[in-house]
Amino acid sequence: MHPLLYKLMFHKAGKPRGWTRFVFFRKNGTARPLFYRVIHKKNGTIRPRWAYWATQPLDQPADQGLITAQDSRPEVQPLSAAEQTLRALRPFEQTVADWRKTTELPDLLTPDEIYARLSELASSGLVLSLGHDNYRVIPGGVQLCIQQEEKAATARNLTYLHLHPWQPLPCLADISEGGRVPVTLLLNGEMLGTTRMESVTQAIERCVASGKNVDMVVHHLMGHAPEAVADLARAAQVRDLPFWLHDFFTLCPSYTLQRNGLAFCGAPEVTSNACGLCVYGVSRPQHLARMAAFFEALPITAIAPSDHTAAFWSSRSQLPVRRLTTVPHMVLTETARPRPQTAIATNHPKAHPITVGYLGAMVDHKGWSVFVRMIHRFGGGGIRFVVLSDKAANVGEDASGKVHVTSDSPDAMSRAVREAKIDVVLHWASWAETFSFTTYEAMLGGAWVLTNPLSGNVQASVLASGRGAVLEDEAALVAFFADGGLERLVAERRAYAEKTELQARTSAMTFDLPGWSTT
Amino acid sequence: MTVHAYTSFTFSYLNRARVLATSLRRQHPDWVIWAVLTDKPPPGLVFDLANEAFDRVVTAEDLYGEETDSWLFGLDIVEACTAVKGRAHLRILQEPDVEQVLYFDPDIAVFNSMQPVIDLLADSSIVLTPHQIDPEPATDTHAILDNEIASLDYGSFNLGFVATDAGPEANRFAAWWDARLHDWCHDRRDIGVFVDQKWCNLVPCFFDGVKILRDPGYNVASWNISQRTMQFDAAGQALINGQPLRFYHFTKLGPVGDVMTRRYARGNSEIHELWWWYRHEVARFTDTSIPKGWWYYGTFDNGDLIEKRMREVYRSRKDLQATFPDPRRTGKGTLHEWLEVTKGKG
Repeated sequence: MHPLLYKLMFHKAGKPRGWTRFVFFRKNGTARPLFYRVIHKKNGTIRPRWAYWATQPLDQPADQGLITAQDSRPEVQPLSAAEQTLRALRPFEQTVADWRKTTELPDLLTPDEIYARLSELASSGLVLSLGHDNYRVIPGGVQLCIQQEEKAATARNLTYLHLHPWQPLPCLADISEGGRVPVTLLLNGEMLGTTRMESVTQAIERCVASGKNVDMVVHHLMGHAPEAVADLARAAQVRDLPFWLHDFFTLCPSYTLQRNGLAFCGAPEVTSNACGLCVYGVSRPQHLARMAAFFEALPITAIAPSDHTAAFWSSRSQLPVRRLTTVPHMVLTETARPRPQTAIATNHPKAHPITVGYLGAMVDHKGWSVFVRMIHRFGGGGIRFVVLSDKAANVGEDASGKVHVTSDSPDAMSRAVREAKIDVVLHWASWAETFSFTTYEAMLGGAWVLTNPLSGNVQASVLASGRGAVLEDEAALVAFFADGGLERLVAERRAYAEKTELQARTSAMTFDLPGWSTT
Repeated sequence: MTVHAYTSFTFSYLNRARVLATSLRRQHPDWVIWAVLTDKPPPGLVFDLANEAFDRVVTAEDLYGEETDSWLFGLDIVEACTAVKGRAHLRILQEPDVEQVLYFDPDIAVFNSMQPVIDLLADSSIVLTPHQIDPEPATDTHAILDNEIASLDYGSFNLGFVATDAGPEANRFAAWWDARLHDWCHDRRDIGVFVDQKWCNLVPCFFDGVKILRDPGYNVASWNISQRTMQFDAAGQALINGQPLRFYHFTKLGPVGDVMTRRYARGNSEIHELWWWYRHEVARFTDTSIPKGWWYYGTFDNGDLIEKRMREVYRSRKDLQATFPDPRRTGKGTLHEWLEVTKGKG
């Protein structure tokens, strides 16, 4: 605001002049709409120039009618994180529409072409794998799992054909699309091309007819039409269809079960208030019906990456399965460390400050916003905050450039944790994590983990191993940092690290499933 | 025997009324839901019950007959939509199968069964919900002003909701309420009257069997969320202070409502979720063929706006009412002409 205009509108102390009040308030003291437009910034905070009106009573007493009406005084609080999330939240059908590509489909592979490519490979069998995106390009836990599985398949002289939807979607493909859903094929990790599901099904029918041993595994159904996937499974004549519970997409399009993107809902009944008020609630009944039809049609073995996930899923799901089993993605074992360790000497509390890390994708359901709030509260107070992610962070000490986890460098994150001398990883997930690679990578890198009771296998791993702490809520977390709890935990962690080191055994994924037919 | 429910609105509020009726229908498929319309449809709008969650419609003309135009001329839109509630309540009580009658404001949505109110009416004749059921802290001057003093000004009970049985005491109440609203349903806080609502401060004095429902799950709104907290339990049930959320009163949809919600919901993000849902439901049920601000009784027949001062002068002068029994008409010898001629003459 121009200083002259300000002088015309306000007294020295910031008190509005009479004519200013006339412009912005009605005679009865209620604010005109212009007032609300002017006083707030876009983020909801009050413009400093107008703070007087937001915080001080005007000179006319309230009981004379100036500010007695319910709409008379402006809000002074900035928008909360929840309000900001809700402002950005759009009806789910609009989000789905936003995901739609505007590009034309590329030339499509024919069933003959697919069959020819599969036939020319000399292998002892074929594994069909379904996922939601290109695991070779897009980083993430599920993608890493599929990379490991592909590696395990090719090591066994098997052909690994991966299908993911050409059109990414945050939900199932429209039921009307059926076999026409376009999918992109990766053959042993190499791009093969794009085709329609019905073409893959036809090619696989010919493979089976020619005596090829075909197995199939579902990692994710997002973007797929389950009806078409069931047709493919029937064409492959699978007797046992492993279905990975990498998340809870089987229970809701919100695969992390986040009601309105704000809070873990726990997958209540579709008739519940929570579902009725949730942005995903409208589409969930049909989603569940299609999932039920899929599970009823096929001999499915559900695979949970953790016992916690298996227990949670079976308590919430009505989907019929042949069996439900647990296959962890990684197992950590402890060994005694030989003494003395020069590298560990730097772990002495005097040697370097307490270091708190955040690993992986900077998303709220993994606790990113809580981490940022902790930086704002405790940063600069003798605690280092370090971010290790595949993307650059604009807060804390960003060491993200060091981290590229793939099946060829599975220890990239744990090495980065060790190099950054992270004592504690804050993994404040707001959903029941099914496995959490970052928890295991943190521990493997020598860090312990702070989390909350909602975090699924994160808290289960912390409780089972003792490597960290499970704190009730964010207030307890703040108190833990403020009252010495963090210092005590770090001291314990450093003492443990001097005596103990961890080794990891990574999973071959579906190949670790006892009794799976392909070998 | 049947439960009847009704709401009162103009076509400008049809979207909100549809949200109410749909939410009520979801909880009570067997109830008879009435639309009380103080309006006539704008050109192009087809209001067909076959496509609505309402079962029946009754208009102001049905309720007031020949005096409708002249009587409504004395009322603004809020006064009119509240004034008809008493007559509508009486009318519905005449239904042969009626056992209970419930009124809901159109900007309410129902989230769980209203059966506990029906159960209360087994032993009561009238159920009212107060604006507040818990005192504000003495130190919170703003909350006392916004909530408790506002209740002293606007009425202790929120007449966005009232329920009665169909017995003699309920009929006596409805007849008294109708009579007062016919003559005194005005926003005249200078004389202690606020439309249909402030009258009901007298209900516990005049009638027996009055139940003041102090369950926090009913009539949750900006004026009481300072003392109420919403959360979901593990089964996804919405709770207010631990009790099921029965209905929320989404008063003042827009910036004003937002300010009050932000001020008093504070960190209760579930309340903000509720509003997000409501905004989108209202948008879903909005008929774009209804002109913004449409109210048939809001203008003269030539489209000129009927100003509040015109309504006040007409309702206060019996001579004008007798001379101009058809006050919306324009042309020679009409109230419209008289108002033009006398404009500026005090």
